[in-house]
Amino acid sequence: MLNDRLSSVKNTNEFFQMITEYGLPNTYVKQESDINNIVNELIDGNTILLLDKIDKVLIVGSSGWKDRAISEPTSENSVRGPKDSFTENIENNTALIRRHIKSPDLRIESFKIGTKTKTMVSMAYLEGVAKEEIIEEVRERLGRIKIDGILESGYIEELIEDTPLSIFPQIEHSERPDKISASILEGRVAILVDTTPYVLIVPTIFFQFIQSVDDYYQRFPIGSFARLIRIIAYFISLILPSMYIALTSFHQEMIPTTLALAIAASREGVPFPSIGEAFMMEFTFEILMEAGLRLPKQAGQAVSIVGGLVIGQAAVQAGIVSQAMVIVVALTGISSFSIPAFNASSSGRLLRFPLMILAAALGLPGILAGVSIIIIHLNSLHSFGVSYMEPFISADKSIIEDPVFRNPWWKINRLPGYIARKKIVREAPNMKPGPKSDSTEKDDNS
Amino acid sequence: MMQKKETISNNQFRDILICIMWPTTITYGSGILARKIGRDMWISGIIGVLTIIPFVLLIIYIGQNFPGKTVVQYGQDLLGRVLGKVLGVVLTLYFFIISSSSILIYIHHLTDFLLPQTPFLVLTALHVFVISYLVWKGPEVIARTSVIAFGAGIIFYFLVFMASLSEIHINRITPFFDSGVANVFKSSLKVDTFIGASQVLIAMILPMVHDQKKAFCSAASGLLIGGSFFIFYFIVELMVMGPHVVALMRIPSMDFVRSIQITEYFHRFESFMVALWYWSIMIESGILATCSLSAFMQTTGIKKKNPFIIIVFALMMITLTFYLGHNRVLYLNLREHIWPYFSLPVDFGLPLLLFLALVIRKKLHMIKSK
Amino acid sequence: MRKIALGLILILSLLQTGCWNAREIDELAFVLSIGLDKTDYGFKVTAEIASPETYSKTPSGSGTTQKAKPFWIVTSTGKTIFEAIRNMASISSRRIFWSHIKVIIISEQLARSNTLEIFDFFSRNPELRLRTLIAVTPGEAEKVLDVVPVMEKNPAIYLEKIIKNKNLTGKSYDIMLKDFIEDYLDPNVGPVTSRIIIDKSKSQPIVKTSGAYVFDDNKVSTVLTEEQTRGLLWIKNKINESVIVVNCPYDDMPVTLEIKKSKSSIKSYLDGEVPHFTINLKVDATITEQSCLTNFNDMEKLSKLEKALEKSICKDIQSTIITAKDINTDFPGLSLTLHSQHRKEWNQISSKWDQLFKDSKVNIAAKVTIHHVSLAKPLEPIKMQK
Repeated sequence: MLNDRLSSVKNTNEFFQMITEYGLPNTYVKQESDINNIVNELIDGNTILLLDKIDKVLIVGSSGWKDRAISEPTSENSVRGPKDSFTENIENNTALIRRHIKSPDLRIESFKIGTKTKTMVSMAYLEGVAKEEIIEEVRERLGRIKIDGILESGYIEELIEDTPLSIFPQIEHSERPDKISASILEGRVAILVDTTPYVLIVPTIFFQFIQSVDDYYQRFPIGSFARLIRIIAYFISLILPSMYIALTSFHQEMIPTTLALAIAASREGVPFPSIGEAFMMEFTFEILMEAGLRLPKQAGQAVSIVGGLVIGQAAVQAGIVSQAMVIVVALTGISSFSIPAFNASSSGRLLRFPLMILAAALGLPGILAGVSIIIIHLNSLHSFGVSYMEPFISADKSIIEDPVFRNPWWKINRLPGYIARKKIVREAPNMKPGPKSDSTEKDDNS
Repeated sequence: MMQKKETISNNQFRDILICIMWPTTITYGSGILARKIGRDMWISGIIGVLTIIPFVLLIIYIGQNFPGKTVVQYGQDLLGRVLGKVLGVVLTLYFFIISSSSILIYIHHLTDFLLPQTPFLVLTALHVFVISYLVWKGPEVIARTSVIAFGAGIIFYFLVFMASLSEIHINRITPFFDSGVANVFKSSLKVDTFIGASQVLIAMILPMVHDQKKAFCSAASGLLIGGSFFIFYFIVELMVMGPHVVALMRIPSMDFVRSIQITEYFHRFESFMVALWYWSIMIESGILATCSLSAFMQTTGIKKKNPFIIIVFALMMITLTFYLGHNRVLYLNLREHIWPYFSLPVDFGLPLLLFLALVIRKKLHMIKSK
Repeated sequence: MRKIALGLILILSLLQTGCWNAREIDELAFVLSIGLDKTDYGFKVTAEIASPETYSKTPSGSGTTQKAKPFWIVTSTGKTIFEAIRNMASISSRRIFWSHIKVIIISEQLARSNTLEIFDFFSRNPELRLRTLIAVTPGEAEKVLDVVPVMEKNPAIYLEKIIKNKNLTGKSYDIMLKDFIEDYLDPNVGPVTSRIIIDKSKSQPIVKTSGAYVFDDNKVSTVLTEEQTRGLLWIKNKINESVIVVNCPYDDMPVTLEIKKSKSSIKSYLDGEVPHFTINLKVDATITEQSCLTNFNDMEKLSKLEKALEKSICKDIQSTIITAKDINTDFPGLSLTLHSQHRKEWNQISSKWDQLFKDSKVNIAAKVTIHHVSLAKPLEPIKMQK
């Protein structure tokens, strides 16, 4: 067939036109004459076809990168649920999202950010569900970034947050496609960045960091209980060392008499005040944690043995710290790991040190002043127009619903009103399942 | 950036009102009332709360005639420029003194009972810092934190109830109306010196409430819930300790909390109770300080909050708190004997005055339009 | 940036002079009970401090010495109580910490002179709690605290528990500081405290509770015997699980009855200016031991036993009321009942209460129900067939 067409060509221009339209049918072909665009396309991996005596060039789409196979997520494990994770190629990631959400309302808008890296960044949202103001705001903030290179979504996160000086993260990230699709369905906007598997989700509320995908796949009492445990664990990791310092140094009357005498007995002969011991043990724990992240896998076992048994036990035997302190530090450390999001648990770990200083200076009122400053700060944070502590602050019964106790799936029939447009119904009413009743007309099965 | 007009939801409005009703009343209030009328202080409490509600209705009615304006702003419309400015100055000072006195009560708790050796000035400076951080962030943040304070208050009362169940003697609050009905009514005025600030507070924050039609409902439910909190506390305190012991103490609530316990192992939990009570007193001081600052800014015409004003404000509050509170004898005398002459005219006189002015204005309009 | 600097300045200034109130837990001396005695110049205060080594569970580095006393006694004197306490610092290396105190023991000699200063000190001090138990002892308080108790590590915990066991014996009284001060401040009511004695009859002295002391004004005026104390407990509705021995109506052998539930209410009325009181008691009891062979499953015999118990209760209460009238102190608290039930009349006659109390008439009506006998017939040995 090409031969027939070739024979009908009269001059070079017609030949060029024919090749553009029919020459390479399995990929896209474009004509281009601007030298900057030509260079960009070449760097993107496409092929340039130059023909003698023609002043335009043909760009043939041929970019294809070698990338990793889809594997399990490394940082967000779940007991039940899909086990695929995003990869470094944005086209793959987009495809993974489209596999979950097959509606034509899913819009993906792309930008190229970074003057030297020209990284492709895409916004994904559901038209008609996500609020217009949020979409507009994301577009505007992404558009104003001017930087030489974007290597990870963390760069974008810091460049578009509302309160960059705060310890608390205001944008969540994830590498699981099911989590991203669930967020998009709720009306959030996902930001995908090329060369990294971590996708950002905006807007974010504090309680998202306490939730994990597992809660929604397991049955609702298990999910609610797990969330409650995580909230308690967050508080423990924040205030347990400071409470220990405050109670044993300032408020000994609050401890029951026999326990107070037992703690006094265990502290006999320890040279440092309890404040000093607390700081020493906490720093040692932080060093151990950092070391654990960097070690190669084979040496990981040795670190846990050395850290846990030797340092803890030997320090107690030598009389450098008291036993109660070792228990406190261990419990704090374990609690800080039970929170699924690393950035949120780090905020708890970091804030524990100023609280220890305040507890050492003023006891329980010092901890109170510190915690109240933290809570005032949390209450004043916003994330893209949504208040950070929603729905806890709206003072009605929705406090008890989604953040802490998960409603069963047959009851979640509205989207959270602070994120999506109001009154969007996602489930038909009366979805609660039950056995078939005797009469044949009524069928209650979902 | 996305900017919205400052609004607080009705539930948050109700929670703010609850937070200003009970913290100071249960500490200094119970001692002062017990010295005045003994066993019937809870009946005075009920009468005091019910007395305020019509005035709240009045203030909300007046405020809704001037939508979007606080009392300092429409005071200038109603009373003329000079009197309006005088009103603004009076309100600024009034709110400032109450806010300082509230944070002072907390610092008294700390320096008298929990941390006796810490210098007064250090604790004052720390807590005024927290309050000025609240004022800097604005009333929306205060409203959100008041939800936590309400929750803390519920846990506080639940613990008090559980711990004192084994110790209550009903015969300590009988007979009712022991001191005579007239005396009970007279001392309900003393209750109003503690909770009467709610009328003027509502006058300042009413424009920010989201649903104006239901504002009275939220305000009334806030006052009633807050009132029932401290009346419940009075009753339990009388039943556990008896009116003579309550009259003996300067701050009976600390001795009360120390004399109840939940089981053998959770005893002496007074620091824990102070921690729960602290949220409400922080909200109370915070919202009153915010009102003082906005009254000042609206009287002098400054539009934007800049840090310099906040710092000056904080320093003045530290000075006032130190001078009022360092000498406990002076503070008790002031609060018990002298303060009613200042607070009652402002609390009750202001709504009546504004109402009168509104009625006169409406009549004048009607005459003019004829 | 400015906010961070301001915050740092404030925080660092907090640490400048050290932590003012911080005390390490191992430099505190936990005082668990305190004894007050009278000396020529003022007061002698004895503090009994718990020694933490006896509470440590892990073996410490050095080997254990021989069994040391698990508590320390520190004594000091002074013109006033607080001065005596501060003088303790010259002999105690650890800081005296009052917040865990359980019992206050006052010697009778001190309690018979002016006690105003003692209770003033205890009400003002913020470290103490108003839940501390109060007891008076006939001898010296210091000796009571020095006795090593049989079952507990610490005399204070032992004392606290035996005082609270008044439920089981029914022969002693317990009162907390807050209730004591409430009665102390009321001009018409006389407060009552527990009574602790040292029983020196065995080789090792033992501390026990027995009876009560009555305060009049602010001094101790009388001792109540065990029966009178029981009468007082009946009136105040504090009898819970105690045990009463009555004589069987047919044989004069003893029968032990355990009180399961008792409820007392006092009704009063005024006849002219003479108050009349009626004390109504409703009691539920069970038979726990009998030495006579009567079968109390028979309703008629049971009602006779009930009447016997009623008589015994009335006798106890009568002796209490007679004692109260003799010393002219209203420690049963009858004035409170009159006040709460007849407010108007009370306001007129309250100034003459002392005189009126002597003339008042008290009726006692007790109703006992024995509802459980435990055995279907008495444990009568079957006679051997001859």
